[in-house]
Amino acid sequence: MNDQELIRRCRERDRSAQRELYARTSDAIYRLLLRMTGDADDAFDVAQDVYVKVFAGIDRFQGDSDVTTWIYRIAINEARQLLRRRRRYGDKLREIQSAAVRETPADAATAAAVDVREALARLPEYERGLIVLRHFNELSYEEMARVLDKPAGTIASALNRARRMLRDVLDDRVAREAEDSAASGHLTG
Amino acid sequence: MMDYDRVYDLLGPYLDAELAPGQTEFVRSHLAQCPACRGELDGLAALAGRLSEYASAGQIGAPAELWTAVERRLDAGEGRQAGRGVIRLLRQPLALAASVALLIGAAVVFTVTLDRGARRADAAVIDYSVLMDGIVADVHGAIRRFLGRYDAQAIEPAAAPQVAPGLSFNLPPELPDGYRLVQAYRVRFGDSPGLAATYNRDGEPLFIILHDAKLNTNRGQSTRCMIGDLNGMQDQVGPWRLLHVMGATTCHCVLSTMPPGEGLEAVVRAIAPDVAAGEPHQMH
Repeated sequence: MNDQELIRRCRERDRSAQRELYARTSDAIYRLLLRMTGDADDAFDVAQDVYVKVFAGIDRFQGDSDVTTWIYRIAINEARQLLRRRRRYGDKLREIQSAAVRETPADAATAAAVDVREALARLPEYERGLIVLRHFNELSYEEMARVLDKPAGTIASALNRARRMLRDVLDDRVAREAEDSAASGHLTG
Repeated sequence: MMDYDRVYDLLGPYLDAELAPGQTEFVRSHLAQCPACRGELDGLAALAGRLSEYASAGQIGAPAELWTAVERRLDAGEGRQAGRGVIRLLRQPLALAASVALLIGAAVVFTVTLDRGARRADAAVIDYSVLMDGIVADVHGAIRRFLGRYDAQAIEPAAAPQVAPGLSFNLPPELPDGYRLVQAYRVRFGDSPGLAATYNRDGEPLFIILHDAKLNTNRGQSTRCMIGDLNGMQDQVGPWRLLHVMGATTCHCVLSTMPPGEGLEAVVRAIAPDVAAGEPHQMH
């Protein structure tokens, strides 16, 4: 079934067509949300909202972009709304909880993955979205521009900026760990 | 200098193969004579490699129960998601308020870290009643409570062996009988690292807990059972069976509605490499 036929049937609330559209897109959308939110429960909740909005709003889909791009756009907007709500209400609690987690030696091997996840979490929402769309969902600059509703010519420079911010955050963490390690060695050595 | 500035901004698109052929050639010839830009390009490539490594460790798809949840909401009436947004909006400050109240109580005398340490010490005995109480009414809630009680943190499945190096296990993407991996977790039983994982088949969860075989547990009314030729212990509440099978180092616990037949035995063998066929197994 081609996209046009699929959308036509989704507009008729055909459940098998809705399921087909979901099946074609949900892995990528969930991956996007998981990387944006950094939390499987939040990604699960937001993904539900995304698909309810998709099927509720499919009549408004103009067909001027690919349907997957349209769903990506809804998903990234929903994720950014969640991050804004989280910042407004939940950041303080999360900071306290995060600070309370002490890493054990067994955690060290996963430190690289933790580094990336935490560094991503420190980026502003827009920059995080750029990194996720490019590096985890592997969208082209043109696709990213359509999803983010930005001129194609701005993506390259925005992505450059996002990458440098991410690298700075990662370098900063490495530097802090080296300092901590040196301090610890001094105390115990 | 002009070339340097211009090329510096083109290095990202160059790495992403997003430049027009003429620009690609321009960057390439500049790189041949500019060590600073080569260094910058190496830095960008290293970052891309690191992100790629992180991405490939977590190539998991949408959880199987996601469609069920979407479909349930569609059945309840499309376009009513605004109400749900309000509930979530309220949930955050309420959770914050409840947690802040708890933290304030603890912070009077102890730091948050000390309080957490005390909770972790209590958690050295694994209390399965946290999981089994109320499981019939809400299995997902029961699993969430257990994960919350033992400080679960979502991890990539590939990281599980490093999280709990003393345990012997597999967490395959798919288990026999069609259960698909949804999420792996690091959990803490006191100071002992453990693992948990949620699987799903058509909206029905299967929950795995892996812990050090030497840990004490509170299992309530456990009874001995045979799963194929494996000895085990089980707790049963309604349709839910929590099976415990011991390997040399690891206790493998499987919560499911599967009857004690070949399917359940196959699941245990899939996650428990130290439970060999025919080998006598110690009771847990």
